[in-house]
Amino acid sequence: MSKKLANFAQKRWISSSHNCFNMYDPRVFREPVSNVQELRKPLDVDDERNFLFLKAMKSDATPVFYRDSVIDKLIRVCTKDGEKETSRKNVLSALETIKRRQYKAWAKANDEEKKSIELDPFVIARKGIKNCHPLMKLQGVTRGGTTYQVPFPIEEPEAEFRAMKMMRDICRVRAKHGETHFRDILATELLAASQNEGSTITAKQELHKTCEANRAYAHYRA
Amino acid sequence: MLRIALTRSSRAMSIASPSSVPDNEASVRKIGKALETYLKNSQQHVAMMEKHRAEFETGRRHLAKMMSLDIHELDQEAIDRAIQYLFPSGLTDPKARPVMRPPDEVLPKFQRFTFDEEGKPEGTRFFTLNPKIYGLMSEIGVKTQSVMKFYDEHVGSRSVNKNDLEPANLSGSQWITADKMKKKLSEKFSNELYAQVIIAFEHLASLPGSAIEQKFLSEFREPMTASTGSKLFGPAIPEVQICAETNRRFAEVTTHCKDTRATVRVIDAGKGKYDIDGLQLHDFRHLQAREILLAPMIISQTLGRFDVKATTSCISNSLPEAPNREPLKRSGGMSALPRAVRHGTALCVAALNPESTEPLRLSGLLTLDPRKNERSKVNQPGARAKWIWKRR
Repeated sequence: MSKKLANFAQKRWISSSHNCFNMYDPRVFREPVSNVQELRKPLDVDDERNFLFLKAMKSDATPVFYRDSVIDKLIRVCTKDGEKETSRKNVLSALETIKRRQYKAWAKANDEEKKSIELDPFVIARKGIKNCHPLMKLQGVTRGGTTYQVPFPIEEPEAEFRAMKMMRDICRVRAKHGETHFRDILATELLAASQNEGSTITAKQELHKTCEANRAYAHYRA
Repeated sequence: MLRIALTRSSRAMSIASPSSVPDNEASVRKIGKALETYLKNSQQHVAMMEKHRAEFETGRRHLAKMMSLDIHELDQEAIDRAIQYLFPSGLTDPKARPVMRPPDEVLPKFQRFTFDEEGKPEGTRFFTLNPKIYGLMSEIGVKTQSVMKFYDEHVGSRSVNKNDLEPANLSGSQWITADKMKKKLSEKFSNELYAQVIIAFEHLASLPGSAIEQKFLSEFREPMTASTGSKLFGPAIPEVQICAETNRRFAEVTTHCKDTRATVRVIDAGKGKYDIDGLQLHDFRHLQAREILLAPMIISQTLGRFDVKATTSCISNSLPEAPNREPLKRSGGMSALPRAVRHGTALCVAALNPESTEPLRLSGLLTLDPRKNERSKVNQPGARAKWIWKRR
């Protein structure tokens, strides 16, 4: 983003001041350790972190026992207008709804089925989002005036983000008219995705189909 | 070598005595122009230094007399004080102020060179302007070749130590600065030459097998602690004090996060109570805020041991605003206050419980968050947002 801004600034004669760049000098700062067990272990003598600064801990990364990085990321993705607390309430309510539904199903089931029913909503949510990970993404490449949708390979963090974004957009569209709340729709979607069903999975499969169809454009990759 | 050259040249230049050489004309030997110039400069330099040393000595005596001091009491510090008194200077640059120092420290040094029998300088660098740094670059070049050769010959062979085939380990150190290199080589050179030397060093250090030249490379490296200082970015860990009335240990520190300033006091032998501007922990209704406030205790495993007392203020409320404008809506934000208090608490906990300093540092709680609100730019609605772009 800073490179784009610097380019833009050069063309438009707007000052690209110090704030455009990372306030953490990458030569002197490293990522902090988040795992409590790893913190207790002493560092290797040669480790560069003995001589460098460590970035400040993120607000939502306090190592409490209920910390889940995937759910934290989902909360961030679903945040609107900077209202993270509303988003957190929504997502945690969705997880609670999942737990209630699963418990209902568990109470009704006989002994054999009881073993196969997953009650932990965090596990279900993680599995659901994992099932929604796309394997490729479509990026617009302009050649000779025409913009082609070219399939590109994707990294794990980006695949996770795209899965969450797909799910969030689908849930927002459905909740727009106000009859059903975002949290209930999200719960339904996560449950369905963990079974490889639902709109988000369908959307992912559509994306894969388009990537397969545009296979020929793959040579446009730079 | 110089003395031999001098005596040889003096012998050569002077007309030989009849007893040593039979023929008068054959005894006058020509020496190289380089050597001739060098000898002349050397003699001039020696004479100049002698003259200045004598002048400095007489100057010292006069100064001692002026300042009514004994000549033996007049060391360099006393001279500096005397000069400051006699020549008071309003110049801001310390190097521009008058100075009285022994000529060896102040006057330019003379490069000593060795010459061979025929009067030619040993080594072609005599004719360059920066012999020492060009010598260093040549040395790096030669070592690069030898490292590459060493690797090519020994890769895959069992007779060599595996560690020697690795690139040199230079973690925790950085290349010495240009100024330090100038002092080390006792020579002045341009920044471009320094950059070239660093490029050459970086290439050598990156080669596999450069571990054999570890010693040579570390001569030009300084430890990184020299630049990061106390290893903490932001306020240092405070001193532990003892409260007079209650006889409990406590530590106090002032920090900030964005526009929020916080003064935090952490008191030992407590129950885990919080008092932030009169608010307790349960008064912070956001779960994230409570997590942030408890983070230092979780990391240092001291839940319930310390009491935290903090006072905060948002400085943007006290900033002067333009008279005709609406007051700018600048404030710390929802998480800034807890984060400021967290930073202060972590520093105080590190002071009161030193064994938790390293875990707190590695988790990033002892680092001051340098991020500030980005300013909004002209022609844009905000810091990054742009107006809706229309093609026409």
